[in-house]
Amino acid sequence: MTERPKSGMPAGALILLILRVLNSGSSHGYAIAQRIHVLSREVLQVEEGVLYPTLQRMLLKGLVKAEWGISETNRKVRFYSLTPAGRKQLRAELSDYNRVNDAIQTVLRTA
Amino acid sequence: MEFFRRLQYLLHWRQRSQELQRDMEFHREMMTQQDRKSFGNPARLQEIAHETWGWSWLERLAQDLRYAVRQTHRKFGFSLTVIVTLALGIGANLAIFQLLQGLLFTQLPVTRPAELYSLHAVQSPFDGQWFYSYRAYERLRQATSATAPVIARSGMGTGVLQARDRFSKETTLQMVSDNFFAVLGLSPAAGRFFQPSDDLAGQTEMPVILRYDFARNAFGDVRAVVGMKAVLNRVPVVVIGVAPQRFSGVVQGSAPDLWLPLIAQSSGRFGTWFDSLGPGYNIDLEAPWRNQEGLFWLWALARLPDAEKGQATLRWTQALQPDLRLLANATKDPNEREQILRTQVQLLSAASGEGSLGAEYKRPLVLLLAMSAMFLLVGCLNLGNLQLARLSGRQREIGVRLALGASRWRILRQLMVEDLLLLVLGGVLAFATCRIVSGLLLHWASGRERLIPVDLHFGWALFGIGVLLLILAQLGFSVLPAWRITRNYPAATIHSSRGNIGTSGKRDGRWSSLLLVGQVSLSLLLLSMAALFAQTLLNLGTLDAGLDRRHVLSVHLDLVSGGLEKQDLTSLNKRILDRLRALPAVHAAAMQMCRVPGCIWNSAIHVSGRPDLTEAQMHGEENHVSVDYFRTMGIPLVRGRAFGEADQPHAQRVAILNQAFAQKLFGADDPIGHFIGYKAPPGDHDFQIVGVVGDAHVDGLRLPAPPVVYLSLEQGGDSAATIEVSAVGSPANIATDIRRSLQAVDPDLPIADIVPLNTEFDDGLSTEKLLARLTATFAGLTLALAAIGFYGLLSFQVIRRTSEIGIRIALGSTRGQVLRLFLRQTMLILISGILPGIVLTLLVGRSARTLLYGVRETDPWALVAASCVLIAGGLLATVLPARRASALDPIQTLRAE
Repeated sequence: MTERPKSGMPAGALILLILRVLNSGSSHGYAIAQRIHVLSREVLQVEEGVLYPTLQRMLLKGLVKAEWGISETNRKVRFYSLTPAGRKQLRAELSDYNRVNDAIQTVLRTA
Repeated sequence: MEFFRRLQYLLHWRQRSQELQRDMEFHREMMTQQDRKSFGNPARLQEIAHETWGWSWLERLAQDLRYAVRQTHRKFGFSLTVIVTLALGIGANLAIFQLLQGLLFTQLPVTRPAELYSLHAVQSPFDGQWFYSYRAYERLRQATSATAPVIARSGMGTGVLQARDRFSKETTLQMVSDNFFAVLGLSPAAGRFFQPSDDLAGQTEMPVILRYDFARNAFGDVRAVVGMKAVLNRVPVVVIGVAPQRFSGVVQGSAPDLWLPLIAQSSGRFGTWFDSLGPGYNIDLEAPWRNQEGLFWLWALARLPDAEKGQATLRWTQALQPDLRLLANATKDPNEREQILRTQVQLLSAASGEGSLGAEYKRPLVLLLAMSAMFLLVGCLNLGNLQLARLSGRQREIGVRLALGASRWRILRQLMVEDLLLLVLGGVLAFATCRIVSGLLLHWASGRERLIPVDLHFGWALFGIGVLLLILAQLGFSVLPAWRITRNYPAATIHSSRGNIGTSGKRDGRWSSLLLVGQVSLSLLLLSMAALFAQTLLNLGTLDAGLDRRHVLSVHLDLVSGGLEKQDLTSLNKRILDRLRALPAVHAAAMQMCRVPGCIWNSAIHVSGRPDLTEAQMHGEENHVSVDYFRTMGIPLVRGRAFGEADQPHAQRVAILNQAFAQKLFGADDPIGHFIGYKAPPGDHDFQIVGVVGDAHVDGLRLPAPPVVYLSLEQGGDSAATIEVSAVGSPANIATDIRRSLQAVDPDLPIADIVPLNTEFDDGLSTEKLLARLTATFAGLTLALAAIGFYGLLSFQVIRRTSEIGIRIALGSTRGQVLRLFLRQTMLILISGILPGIVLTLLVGRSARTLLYGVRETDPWALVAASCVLIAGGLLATVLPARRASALDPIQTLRAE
């Protein structure tokens, strides 16, 4: 089996980012990648080979749902949006992330 | 929750894939518009996304299966061989095993069957059955504790059941003690079982209990039948209950349609098998049997917990003392007398039912099971061989796939999935075949009239064995060859499409030849067994039975149930015979008491003035026959005269012996003029011997011709039960004429059956027919498999050795020499297979000796015939591909290299 494409970020982090992006409104796959790229000041690059498997996994877990819509280029494309479970998951992951991040920052500052 | 969503993805696979594909296409489009960045292989990316759905294993299996179906389609001949081999091989094994299991290992469907025992004391004087008189049964029952009860049953009888709506049906019946069902621990499917008050004399209606299947088939609803009044052999009966569904009696191979209490015998309308002390002991068959000490007609069974065994047998032996004394006094031989008096009651487990049916069929069925196992083995060898050849043909493909990075495991799995598909198909067909074949076997084994009642339910054991055989088959013909072929994979195999002439090919060839040698050995075994059984059947079919079985037609009368009284018969008999003799196609007609074959009316004859005769000399069979009997049956008169019109009731009573009996009683002396009788002096002067006739196989073809004494029916013998008619042409043609004539004499004459005598003799050969048919089938199939094996191996070798042959021909080899090259190889395989095959046949044949007749396994002709057939088959299967090889154009083949 060939190696999976590298994400350039921790595995759990991508889910959090997607949830956060979709929290501001529904969006198609390419737009999700673009927004993460732009908002991270072009530091984070989400590759297709990571984005779609992750989205599939989130669909299976019921965190997001997909509906057909029309893109800005007038193409029929699927828009992903958060489900109530996704919103709940976002809150949980955010508080988790913040707690861990604070802890890591504290260690980095004081050690 | 998540699982259901996953399932959704599986169910809407195509739609979901398309959605994903469009998402990704759109993504790619947007990317190319903006920064043209490469993002890898789209198909691979999509595959990775698919994997998150969690069904990739299934997807891969589906791939393998699709590939397998394609391969199956491509290799149609091979697939067909696999499926047919498995379906027939495993199906036949299962069917025979099922029959064997039903006959030997099935316990009676009663409470704790292991506690049931047959009580054996002394065998009855003439028929050698473990019979008891009713009085003896009463004594046994009285000497019994409540925890070890004894039950009794009679033999099978027949009866015509007439019920409402002019319903009339021929039935089989059995008389049983009132505690029969209670002791077996059964509960009725409807109504109730017998109770002591049912066994009392003087009831206006006799209570009967019906067998479940009989009740359902005859009357529909089993509950509605309870309380139904009917007439059985002109005795009014009332149905009081129906036995549970799986219960068909306690005797293997016989299922009474209805059960009656023992008191029913006293009506005199229900005849069953009996034995007695003999004509000298005031036995009156017309009087109720239950009062007669010297009349034996009941078998005894007991339920006996282990703890009570010793004590109970002691008590029973004690209780039987009066009966032992009676039997001992009736015995001439002092040693035997002593032995009878010392008899102890023996217990014989009846957990699987009484009777010898299982023992009778055990040997032929075990032999057949061995034959079918051989067949399966040959089939698997053959498949393994074809598989090796087939896979060698695919070496290039497999090599390429291995080289491209497929793991060996993946290839193995691929190959096995291909075979698994065939295996599943073959397995399903095998179970279907089993159902059909077991029914067919039962039909063949049962003969003409009734199916042997065997519980042929399809249990887990059978299913397990079937699956086990399938797994073994898969291992043999699929896993091992695949393992071998993927083992040594040098990249070299890819080089030439023809394969190299190198060492690996030779080694495969040697394996294949070895498998073929095994196949030939087993084929020879099956072929020669088939020849032996065919010869057995032929010997019995053409056996001189001592009578003319080709032209005689038997008309069986049902006198007991038909209700004709004895005094009516004498004048009726004469009118019947006169009428029949007037028919143009009738050569002669006569009557007899017996039913031939198989009368078993055993008797003992005293010769006047010869007190020195031993019991063994005096025992023989007895038959009462009318005038013209010997001429009708084609039994030759050897000395003296046959019965004539002068032998009237008031004249000197006469007897005729057959040669066997004359020899036993008189040795070389002339028996004519001597007097014989049933009793010791002075009762040994009743009949005068007037003639001697030839011996005939009246007990059946396989049994030797018994000693028989014939008495005159006209001089007051028993009632005639059979009319024999000798036809001028084929007897089957005149059956309707005879029926019409008989009805003209008396429209109420109870005709049970009109059958050619030969058909009845043939009925006794059902086991022989079964063996001959099945072994012939197996042998034919094995021969076909061996031929396929040779053809497959040779075709494969011709392809492999194309270049070699091309070179040979180019160097001056003639076509004949090339042909001989292949034929020599086949001959070598055949001979090295036939030799061990002969040893195998001698070993198996020795154990089957009792099943053969007039032929032995050591008779060379069966082996020679089988070898010739095999050699012919093998050479024929070789010539076709070998001729193809010899017709090769050397220039073409060398250019192709």
